[in-house]
Amino acid sequence: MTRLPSFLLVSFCNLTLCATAQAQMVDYGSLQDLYGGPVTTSATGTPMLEKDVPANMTIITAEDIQHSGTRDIAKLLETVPGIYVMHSAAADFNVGVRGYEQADQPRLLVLINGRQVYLDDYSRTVWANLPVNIDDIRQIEVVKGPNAALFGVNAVAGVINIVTYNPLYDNNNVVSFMGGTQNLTRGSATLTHKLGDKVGLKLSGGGMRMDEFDTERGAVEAQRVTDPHRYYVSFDSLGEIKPGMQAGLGMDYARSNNTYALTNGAMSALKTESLSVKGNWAWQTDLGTWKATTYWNRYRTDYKGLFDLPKLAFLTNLVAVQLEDQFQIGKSHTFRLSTEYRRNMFNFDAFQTFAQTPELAYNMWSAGGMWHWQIRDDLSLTSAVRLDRLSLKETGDLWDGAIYQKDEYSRQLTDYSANIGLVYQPTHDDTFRITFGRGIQEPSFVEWGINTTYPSVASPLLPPGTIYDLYGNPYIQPSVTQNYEVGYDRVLAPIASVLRVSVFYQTNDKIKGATTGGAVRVLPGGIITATQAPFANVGDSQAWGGELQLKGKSASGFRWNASYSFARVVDQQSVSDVVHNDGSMPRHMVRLGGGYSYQKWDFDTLFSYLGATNMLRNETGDQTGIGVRHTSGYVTLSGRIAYKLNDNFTFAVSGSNITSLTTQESAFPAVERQALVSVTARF
Amino acid sequence: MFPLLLRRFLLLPLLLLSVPAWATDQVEIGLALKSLPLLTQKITGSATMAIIYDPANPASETDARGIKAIMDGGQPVPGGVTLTTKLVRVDALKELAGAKIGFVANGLNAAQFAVLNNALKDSGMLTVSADLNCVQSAACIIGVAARPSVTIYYNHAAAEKSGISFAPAFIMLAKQV
Repeated sequence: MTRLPSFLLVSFCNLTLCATAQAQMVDYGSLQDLYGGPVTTSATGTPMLEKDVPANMTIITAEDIQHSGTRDIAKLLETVPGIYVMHSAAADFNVGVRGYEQADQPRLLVLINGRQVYLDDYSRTVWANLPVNIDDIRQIEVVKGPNAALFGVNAVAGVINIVTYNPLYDNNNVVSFMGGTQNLTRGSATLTHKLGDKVGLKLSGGGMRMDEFDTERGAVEAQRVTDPHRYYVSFDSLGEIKPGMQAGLGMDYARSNNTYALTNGAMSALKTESLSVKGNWAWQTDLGTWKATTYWNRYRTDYKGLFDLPKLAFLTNLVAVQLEDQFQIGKSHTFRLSTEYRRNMFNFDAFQTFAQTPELAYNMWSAGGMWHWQIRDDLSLTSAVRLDRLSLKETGDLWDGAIYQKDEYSRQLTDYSANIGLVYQPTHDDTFRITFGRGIQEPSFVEWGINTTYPSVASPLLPPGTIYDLYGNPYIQPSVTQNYEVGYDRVLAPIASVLRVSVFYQTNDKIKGATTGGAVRVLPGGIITATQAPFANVGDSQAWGGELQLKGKSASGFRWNASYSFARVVDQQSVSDVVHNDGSMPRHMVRLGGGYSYQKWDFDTLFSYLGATNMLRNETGDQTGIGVRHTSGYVTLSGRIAYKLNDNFTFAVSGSNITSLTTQESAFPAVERQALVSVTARF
Repeated sequence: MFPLLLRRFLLLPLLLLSVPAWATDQVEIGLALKSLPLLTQKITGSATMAIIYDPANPASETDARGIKAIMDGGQPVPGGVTLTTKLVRVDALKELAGAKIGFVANGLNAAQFAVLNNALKDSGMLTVSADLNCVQSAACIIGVAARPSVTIYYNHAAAEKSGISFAPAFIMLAKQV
């Protein structure tokens, strides 16, 4: 038996166009079985093994999810080196990447099967509202660094792509019930049904209810907390119209209510309602594989206690239409040409002292191209660029005294994102990766154009009857993040492990933030307003650091995942004063995970040490309470013990923060110990 | 003590020497079978797997019998397919009739690969081997290697000749010959 020398690997489609594979046409399960590890298509559109991806990607598999014991998707991410998950309330999480963390975290592109699930009002993700059953997740792809040219807008700090089981290829039927401390009850189910072998249907649903943590907090904040609950239902379908052509339709609805950390460090009760409809279509032709995706996202978020308003709700409506063609020329060159149109609208359901109906909207056209060049058998280069043209417009009516006139919101912005990744694999065991990324973080709707007028609370600083008026800033600029990175993966066969090392340097320019202060104006008629227009580009920031990870499993049933990560952020003083990235997440993070499967038993544990933080916090909810709070480093221990009764039923006991009743993890109220008992049935 | 030393230092090496280093093993057979769900026209129900060998080469015949033993020993086949195996001499390829899969044992020579390539025409049969010379000579559509890491080789010309096709994702992950 001989190995083929690389020069004999000749192309079967030299000088011709060959069809490629689109995500929905990929039978991930069969490929994963074949290659013994997860396969992804999200980075370049073509199927790749984790080690071949031209970006820093970690794939959390369904098996990892099962062993983790957690039922919160955000908490799953903390096993990825360089990721910090701030647990600010019982069901509230913010995911920081490589030194940059904040409440209302706006720098992540979070997707479910390629559909955006972050909210455009603050460009933030309400993790409690994600309409997905954790038992229906095939894998979560975590990509660190700006990857907007490969993944789409808002991929600045990173990308979280949640991939669920495919209704056509997979047969996932699972029901789960759980109870635990904080009076938690949770249930979920996913049912898959095939109509012949050409159509697959899937229905998922679930709910959760628990008590908010009872840890110490101020009297004002205590009035704003709420016990979290969530409900969701999700429908997905995929059918083969004819060989090489597939189409799918999906719909999600979710409603959640939880105590929520706000961008200014205060806390509020947040009710979120989301509805989404999605359609997709893929067709393999001689001119490549064409894919069209369209979806409509509708979000409504209601605050309780924000700005002391009796009523404030943000509504966003996004319609996105994406079209792409992916093709190969010869064996070595894969191209993806794409275009996207987004219509995004933002308005309020809010009390307004002065009659106005603001509605901000934008149209965005994007064009992108990706070229993957397999230079040699052991060397590949991936280059991608994306151009975004955004037209912003105020389409509602503003009150006469507003500080920005309607036409000032008519703006056009043109920006580009780029990604380059060189992957060199001199042996089967060694992978070197050099990447560059440039990502654009467009201002959020709130930063651009929030418009509210409301009565002030009693204040010794303001005359009675003063009206607050709060504005976004139509002149705010997008932030630009550039990342330079070197990575190395080494397969250590004797210990059945993979060693991953990466170092990075990142610049963040034109960082956006909310400054404090304002101006008192006396309007005609003697009306006094306290005018605030806080949003601005406040300066630049830099970060550098690295991650080290050893992950593996043995045939005898042991598994391990040990990592250390370091990130150092240096803000300009003007940034530090307002956003305070430096210290917003631990500089040092150590995680030691281990597990063992023996016959019908699984044992898993995760020990974490996270260094000190200095975060923005606002205990009172008004501007007098804002400040930087120091939190010492801490350790946590979590674990899971599971028993498989038979092929169908699994009982599990899991816990987090096991070693103490409460743990002060961040500047927000301490996190309580949690213990859960669950039963899961798969059939 | 002596029997233990004998086993560890004498018998075990002799045993290893008695098995050809290039014998197709269970992992490679498993890889070949795991490619079946990725066929565009999936094999369903019951099917025949022909194990093709060179009768003039004892090592090839040994390899073929080893493959058959593994398959008949309950090797799992994805997709609920039931495979019946039969040994087919490379000089009697008429016996391939009806077979959906041709597993080519190690030890065939270039002339025999050419004969096998001719037999592929419009056969609708998937030929697979752990001997990568078979893929290189277009007698096999796919080749499987388990070490040092899983690698699948794919010969498009052979696939076209046989009249079968795989999902594009499978082809893109394979090394195309």
